Amino acid sequence: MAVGPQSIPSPLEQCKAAEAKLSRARDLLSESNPETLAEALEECRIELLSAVEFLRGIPGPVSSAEKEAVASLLLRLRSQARAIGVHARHTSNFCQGWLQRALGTGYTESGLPVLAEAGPRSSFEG
Amino acid sequence: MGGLLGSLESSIGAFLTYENAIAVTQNNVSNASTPGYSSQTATFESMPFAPGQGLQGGVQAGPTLSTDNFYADQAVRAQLSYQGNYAAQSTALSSIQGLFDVNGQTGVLGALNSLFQSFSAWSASPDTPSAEQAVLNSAQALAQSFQSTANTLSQITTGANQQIGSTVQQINSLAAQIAADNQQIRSGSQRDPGLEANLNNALNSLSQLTDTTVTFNSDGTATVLLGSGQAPLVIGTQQYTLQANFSGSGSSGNAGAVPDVQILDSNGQDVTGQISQGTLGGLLAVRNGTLASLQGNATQQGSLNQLAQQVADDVNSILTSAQTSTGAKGVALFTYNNASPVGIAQTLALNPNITPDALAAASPGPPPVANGAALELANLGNSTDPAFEINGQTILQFASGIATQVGQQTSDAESNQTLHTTLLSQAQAVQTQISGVSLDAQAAQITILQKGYDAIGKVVSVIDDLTSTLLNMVPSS
Repeated sequence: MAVGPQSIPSPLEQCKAAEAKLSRARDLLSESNPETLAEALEECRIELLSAVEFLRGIPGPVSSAEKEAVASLLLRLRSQARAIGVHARHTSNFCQGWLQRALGTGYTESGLPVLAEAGPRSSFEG
Repeated sequence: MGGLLGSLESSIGAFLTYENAIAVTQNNVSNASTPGYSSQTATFESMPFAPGQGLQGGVQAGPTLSTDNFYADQAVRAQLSYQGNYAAQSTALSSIQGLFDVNGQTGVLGALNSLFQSFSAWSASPDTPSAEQAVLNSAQALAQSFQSTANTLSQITTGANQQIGSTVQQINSLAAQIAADNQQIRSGSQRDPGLEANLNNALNSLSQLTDTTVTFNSDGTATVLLGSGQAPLVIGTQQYTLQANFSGSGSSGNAGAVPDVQILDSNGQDVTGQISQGTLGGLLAVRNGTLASLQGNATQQGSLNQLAQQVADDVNSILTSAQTSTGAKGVALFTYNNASPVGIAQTLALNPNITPDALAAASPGPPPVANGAALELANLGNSTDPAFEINGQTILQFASGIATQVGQQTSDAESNQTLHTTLLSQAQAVQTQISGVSLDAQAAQITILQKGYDAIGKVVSVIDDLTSTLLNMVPSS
């Protein structure tokens, strides 16, 4: 059977695909456990990069029939992305503050935090 | 709106959950140097996901798990017990060892050698007053050495008794603390790592004092049994006190003997036999073992008394069977109080009635020999005549054996102390590896997470820019 020419996804389809990736990224941020958190964050980053690719793949002209739906979806996408961004920045700052509070010994002359040197190990672990 | 608010609540819940995870890590770092602290690991539980019923899924913090490892802790406690035992033995035995010079230069063995040398010199010139006086002087020195040794052993025994009493008090005090910790654990609504650290420390301190069997109950409380487990020390919140009995069981035996120390449980039952390790085990081994074998107890005379009596009896027997140069019957060189077999060494003395010219050097024969008795006395130390032997050994072999035995016990205790100190360090290293808090690991974990969130933030800002650009390209009508 002959295969016809592959159809180019419409802007709306691209936006929906990007939204699915964002949704997956948001789930990864909120459904992992500490043991797999680092891996989940990496997976989350990859999902977000896929969303970027879908958004970049949106062709220039948008048909007037899709215009409103695409605009509405893009607004929702931006809102969701910003929510994830707030979560990520807040948690990054939280981690940095924790490191400074737990391991900080003071500040450099330029105001940068100085962390404690790791002490000698009391175990045989590498 | 319900869906939007639900999503928001789910996100907030997830964030609070990670905040808890980081707080657990922070607690680990704060307690990195707290003795007995076991690293805690946060756990997460899935929340039900049923949007129709308003359940948005996500995660919530579960119970915090301790990485505390029972077997590692048990290994540390066992080594603490061994180390406590041998450290106590080593200290106590070193003071006893000083009394018994294995080289035969000082102490009872040195004085005994000097006496036999004076007998030898006297046998060469039996009528010489200076040789006779030298014999009396050496006999006097030997008697004083026996007395001094017996008195010092008695003082060491008193000291050991005090240490045993004090150790039993410490054991009772720690048992009370463990019972109180159990009470707090039982009344707490969730695990308290600080309280568990206290409990672990108390269990370790207790292990150093005596051998224990520790089991943990499902509610987190510890049950502590003495030795291999016949007598309880702590069950739940109930403490069972021990008591040291220094007055003996009342059974008859050698009159005037220092009774063995008994450890009684809360019912007054003798549980001494169940204690073999820890400081108490070590002290009991020296007190009821080494010291009793030297100075005697209700059932044995003690090797020091055995030696003193054998030397005195043999010397007196030879001298009282001999004659002086004037034909007078010989007199005993030594006296002792024979009211009790365990008091010989302490009461051994030079016969106050003897004078140099009363020393009988001649054996009556037939045939009479002018220095026969003196020669027999000179060879007495190495005589294999069964009448002059102690437990199949010559007098000098037996005396030397006492010194060797004490020296061997001291050396064994010191070697074992060194060995178990090393094994304790190894067990503690393993325990630290399992339960300890590695600052490096904790900080690295947080740094990795922070980098992950940073990377996500950067990608998100790209999406923000892209969507903004696209929105400009697709203006809504």
